[in-house]
Amino acid sequence: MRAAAFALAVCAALGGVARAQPAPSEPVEAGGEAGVTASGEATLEVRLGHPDPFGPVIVIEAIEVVGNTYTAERLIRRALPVKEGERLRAGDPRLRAARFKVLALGYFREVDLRLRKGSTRGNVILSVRVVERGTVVLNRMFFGNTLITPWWAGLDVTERNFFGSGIGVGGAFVVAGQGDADNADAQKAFQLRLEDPSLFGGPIGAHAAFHYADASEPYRIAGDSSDGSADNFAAFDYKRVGGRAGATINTGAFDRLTALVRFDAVRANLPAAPTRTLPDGRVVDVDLLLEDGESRVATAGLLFERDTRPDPILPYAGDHLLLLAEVGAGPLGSSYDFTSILARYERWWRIAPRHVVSGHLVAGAVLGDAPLFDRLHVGDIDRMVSPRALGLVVSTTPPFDFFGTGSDEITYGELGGLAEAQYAFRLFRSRKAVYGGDLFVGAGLWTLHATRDLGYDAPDFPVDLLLDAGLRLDTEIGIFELSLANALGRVPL
Amino acid sequence: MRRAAAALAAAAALAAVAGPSGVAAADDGSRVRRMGFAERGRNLVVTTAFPELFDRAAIDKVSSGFPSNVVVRLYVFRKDRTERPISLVLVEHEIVFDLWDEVYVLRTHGPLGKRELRYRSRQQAVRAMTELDHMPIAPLDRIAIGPHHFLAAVIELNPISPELLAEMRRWLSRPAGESLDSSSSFFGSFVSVFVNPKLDRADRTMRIRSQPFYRTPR
Repeated sequence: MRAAAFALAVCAALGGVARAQPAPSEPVEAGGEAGVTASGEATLEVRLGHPDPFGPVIVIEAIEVVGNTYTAERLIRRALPVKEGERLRAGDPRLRAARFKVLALGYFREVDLRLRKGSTRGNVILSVRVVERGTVVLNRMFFGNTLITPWWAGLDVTERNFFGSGIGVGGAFVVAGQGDADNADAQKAFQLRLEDPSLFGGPIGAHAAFHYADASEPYRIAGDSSDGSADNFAAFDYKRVGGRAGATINTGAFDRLTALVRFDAVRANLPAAPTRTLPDGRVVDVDLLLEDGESRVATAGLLFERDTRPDPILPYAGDHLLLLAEVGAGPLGSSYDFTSILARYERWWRIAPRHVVSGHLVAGAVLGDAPLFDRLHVGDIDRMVSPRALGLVVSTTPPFDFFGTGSDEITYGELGGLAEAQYAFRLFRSRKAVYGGDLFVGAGLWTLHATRDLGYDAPDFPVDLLLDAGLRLDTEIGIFELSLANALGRVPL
Repeated sequence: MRRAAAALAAAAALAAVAGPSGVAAADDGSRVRRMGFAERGRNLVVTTAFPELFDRAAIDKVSSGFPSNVVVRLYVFRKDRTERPISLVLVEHEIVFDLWDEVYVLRTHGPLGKRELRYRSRQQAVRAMTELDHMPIAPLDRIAIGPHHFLAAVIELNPISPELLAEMRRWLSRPAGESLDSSSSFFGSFVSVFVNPKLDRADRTMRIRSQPFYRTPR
C-alpha cells in the first residue's frame, strides 16, 4: 500500500511538478536564491499546503509588542493575522506567516515572535519584538550639464513611515540654471507626495500629490536636427501647478490596480508667432502644444501593474507589466481633450546558472490634443537622451540617429515604442553589505512618431538604435544602476 | 533483504572508488556527501542527515511556540542525463512546541504518508527533522540497472510562499503614486537609496548531492 502510494506520489510529482523544478545544472548558486521558478514553488505550495492545522489548541490571551520606539503599535497589531481572544492550533499556518506579515510593513529590520504561557492552561501570550530600521528612501538624484542647460540638480526623497504612522511622505525638487537659448530662464519644479498604503488597515491604499513647475521650454528655431546647440533654440515660459490623487487596491499577490485623477492649472506665456527656419531656408510655424494664457488639464485614469519577479532588483525570472490609460476631457474641466495609453512589459529568463536574458517592450500612444508635458518625449523612450526631470526639459541634445532615419527630427511625439533585449551576467551574490551585482548589456530599437503636422516632411516612424551597458548593484543602502546610457544623458554631447 | 544489503554495499564500494569521501563541492556549488542507498521492497531508499541546517538561533526558535518547517526536495538523476530528474520526492516536516505539555509535536508529510510524533527532547525533535532514514526516493523500475545515478537535495528551513515573498518585497517597488509623476518616471529605470535589509525566501537553504551510485542485478 505504501509502495503504491509512493509510486503515485513520484509519478504525480514528475507529471505535475518536475518540469517546473530545476535541472541539476540550473539552480545551484551558493549564497544565491534557490533556482526554482515562482510557478514551480506555487505548485509545491499547493502540494504541501496542509489545510489542517496541527498541534495543541491555544487561545491568544494577549499580544504584547516591544521594540517599536517610533512605529505605532496599532500598525503592528493590524498586520498580525491573529487577534487577541482567538482560538487556534499552535501549528496554524497563520502563525508561521505572522512574522513575515509584520516584516512586509517594511518598517523593521528584524521581527521575532514568541509564545509563552498565559494565565490559564491553553492560554498563551504572543510577544512581538521588532527592531526598527531607517525608512527614508532616496528615490532619485537629478544632476547634469548639457549643451543648453549649464547645470541642473535635485533630489527625490520619501519617508515611508512618517512619525511612525505608516504614512509615506515624499518630496522632490529640481532646479536648473538659466539656459543659453534665446529667452531662456532658470527652471524649477517641486513635488510633495502623501501615501497611505493601507487605508484603515484595509486592502485599499491611497495617495495624493501636489506639484509645481516653473518651466522654460526650449523649441527649435533653426539649424540642422542633429545640432543641439543653444543657438538653434528659443524658449518660452510656462507655469504649472496642480495635484493628483488615487486609490490602489491589490487585486492579487502580484498585481494591483490604481484609479487616479489629476488636475493642473497652466499659465503659458507663448511667443506671438513662433517659427523655425529649416536648413533649406523655408520658415515654418511651430506648434508649442500649449494654449496661450490660462488653461487647465483634468484627467482620470487607471493603472494596472503586475509584477511576478522573485527579485525586483536583480531580476532573473518572472515578468513585469505596467498599463496606464488616462483621459483628459472637457466634461472633467480640461482645456485639452486627449487620451494617452502607456504600456511596458518586461520578462526575464535564466538561460544558465549565471546568465539571464530579458526582453523589454515599451509603447505609448497619445491621441488628441494633449499638452506638451503629456506627450511622449524622446528622452522617455531613448535612454541615451536626457530624460525630463520632474517634467522639465533640460537638454536639447538629439538622439544619435545611428541609421540616418531622421529620429533626431522629433522631440515630442504621439506614438512611440521601444523593443530591447538585455543580457545580464550575475557577477556575485553575497550576504554582506553588497548583496549582489549584475553586469548587463542591452540593445534595442525605438521609434517616435509625430501624428500632428510639423510643417515639413518629418519622417514616419524613424527607427533608431539604443545601446546600453553597465552594472546593477543591490546593497544594504539601496539599489544602483551605473549605465552608459545614464551617463550619456548627463553630459554635454 | 540480503540483496538489498548487497546493493547498498556495492553502491558504497562504488562511491569509495568513483566519488569523494565526506563533503566536497560539486561543480554546481552544492555539497557532495556520502549517503546510504538501499533497495527496499519496490523502492530505492536513502539514509542521510543534514544537521547543519539548524544553527543555534534556529534551534532556539523551535522552542518559541511558533511552528517551524523543513521542506526537502529529493531529485534522482541519471548521471549521464541530467537535463531532467527521473524522480522527485517531497518531504515536509512541521514542528511546534506545546507550551503547556512541554512536548515537541512533529508532523511529517512524504512518500510514506502523514505521521505525527511527539518528543520530550528538543535535540531529538531537531534530529528527526534533519535525518532521512530509509526514505523512499524512487520506484526501482525507474532506476536502470548499471548506469550511475546520483541524488540531489534542496533543503529549506521555514521557506515562504512566492506570494508572501512578493508581499514583503512590495515595499521595494515604488508606491503607486510615485510611478505616475510624469512619463519619464513611467518609462524610466529604477534606482533608489534606502536601508535595504536582505530578504530571503527561506531562513536557510542547503543543497547537497550524493556520491554516484548504481544498481546491480538481483
